[in-house]
Amino acid sequence: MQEIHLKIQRQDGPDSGPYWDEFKIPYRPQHNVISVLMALREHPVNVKGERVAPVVYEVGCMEEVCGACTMIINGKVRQACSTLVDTLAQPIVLRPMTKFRVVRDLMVDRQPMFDALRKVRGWIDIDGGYDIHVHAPRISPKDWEKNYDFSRCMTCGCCMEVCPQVNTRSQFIGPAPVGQAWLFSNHPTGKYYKEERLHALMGPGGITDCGNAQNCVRICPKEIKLTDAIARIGRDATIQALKDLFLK
Amino acid sequence: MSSTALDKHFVWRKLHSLLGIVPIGFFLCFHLFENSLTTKGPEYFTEHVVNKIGEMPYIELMEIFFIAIPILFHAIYGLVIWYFGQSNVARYGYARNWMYLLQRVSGAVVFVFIITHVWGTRLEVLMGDSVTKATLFEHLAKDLQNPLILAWYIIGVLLAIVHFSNGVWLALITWGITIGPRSQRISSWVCVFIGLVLVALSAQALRGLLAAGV
Ligand code: SF4
Ligand code: SF4
Ligand code: FES
Repeated sequence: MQEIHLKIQRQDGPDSGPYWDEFKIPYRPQHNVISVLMALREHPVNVKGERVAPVVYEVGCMEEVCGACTMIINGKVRQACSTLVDTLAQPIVLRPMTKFRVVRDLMVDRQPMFDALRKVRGWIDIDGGYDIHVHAPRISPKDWEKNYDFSRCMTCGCCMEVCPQVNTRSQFIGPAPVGQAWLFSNHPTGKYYKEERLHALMGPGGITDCGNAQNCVRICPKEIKLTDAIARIGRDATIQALKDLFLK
Repeated sequence: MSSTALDKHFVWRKLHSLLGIVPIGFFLCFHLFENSLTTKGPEYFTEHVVNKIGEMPYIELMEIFFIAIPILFHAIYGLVIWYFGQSNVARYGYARNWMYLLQRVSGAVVFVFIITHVWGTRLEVLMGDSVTKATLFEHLAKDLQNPLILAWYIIGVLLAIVHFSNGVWLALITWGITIGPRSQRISSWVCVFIGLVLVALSAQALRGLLAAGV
């Protein structure tokens, strides 16, 4: 293999249309998709010999923990930094995720996911009108282990990309925020806001909009048990609904 | 973030899910069971099934409020749910993703089937010109001699069974009964079993009707 052949779906701005551009760069062993894009940036000449604007992409950690570099690689959504070129069929086809607004080329705006975290109170309070953490909060090793699993979510958007219920027509908040809502309600101090989180997930776009296609749990690069969280939140929402009906 | 009363959206979705099981699912099971009694012959069927049910008090009200209205709501709201999804089996061909699509397609086909089925049986009896309760069995047996109608019935009933069995599997999750992958695997086998029992009952019904065919 002498060359690396790239086919990239590009877009000049959020409101302009997409187009394809092809590149060939010299082969080097052990490239990953981000390092290939970096090499391309040094010499952005396409197969037609035109010098074009360098391909825009997002990158952070380079070790699959930040989620910034997520894109569709040969038809599958995954992190570009941890995808090794030697494992891919050529030409390597790169596309931006389809469920988010494209900023430019391969870079998308994942803001809706962060907005969703705000909506479901995806955090714990470290300060308040009383001493929250006088001592370190107690947590059973079992809960700790489960929570650790969910805490590895990097808001990458893979699960949103594959979810049939996340699309421009629907308001569904998506699998990752449901997982995070469950995580923070299972935390010793976060649990005091469980009811608020459930109510946020019982409105339009909430838990009942999940169609149980279970693609999310198959695709998550961190193997987070999203469908467990979805089912648990489903149960808690049912119980909360009964409380709302009979205790209020 | 609403923090007090129950959200309308939540209630509609839950109602949609609940109605699919009770009364619609229960009715489907009962309906297939009673129809499997066609194997006992036209006289028995007319006397012990058609007439018995016809003699039940408040039968018309029950049909309207426990069968017709729930089915209409479940079907129309189901189509709304379908509209808000965007299937992607071509790219992500996992089995569950196919079932997600099949649940929607089967629901739509079964809705059309139910309309034709009710038209061809219950409504014709109600209008009472050509078909009466006494001749319902014969009428259906004759209809099913037509291979197109027979095929339509087989497709409609099978898809209804698929939709119901998969619906039970889904309801067990969304109501929070089966949470983990292991319990969901077990429940999927239980649902396959329920489906097979219903298929067996339908085969019996068909056998009875075809055997008596003119
Ligand atoms: S749950 Fe998994 S797939 Fe979804 S955003 Fe988090 S890490 Fe990514
Ligand atoms: S299980 Fe729910 S959240 Fe996950 S992909 Fe399917 S519809 Fe989306
Ligand atoms: S750069 Fe952080 S996950 Fe790829």
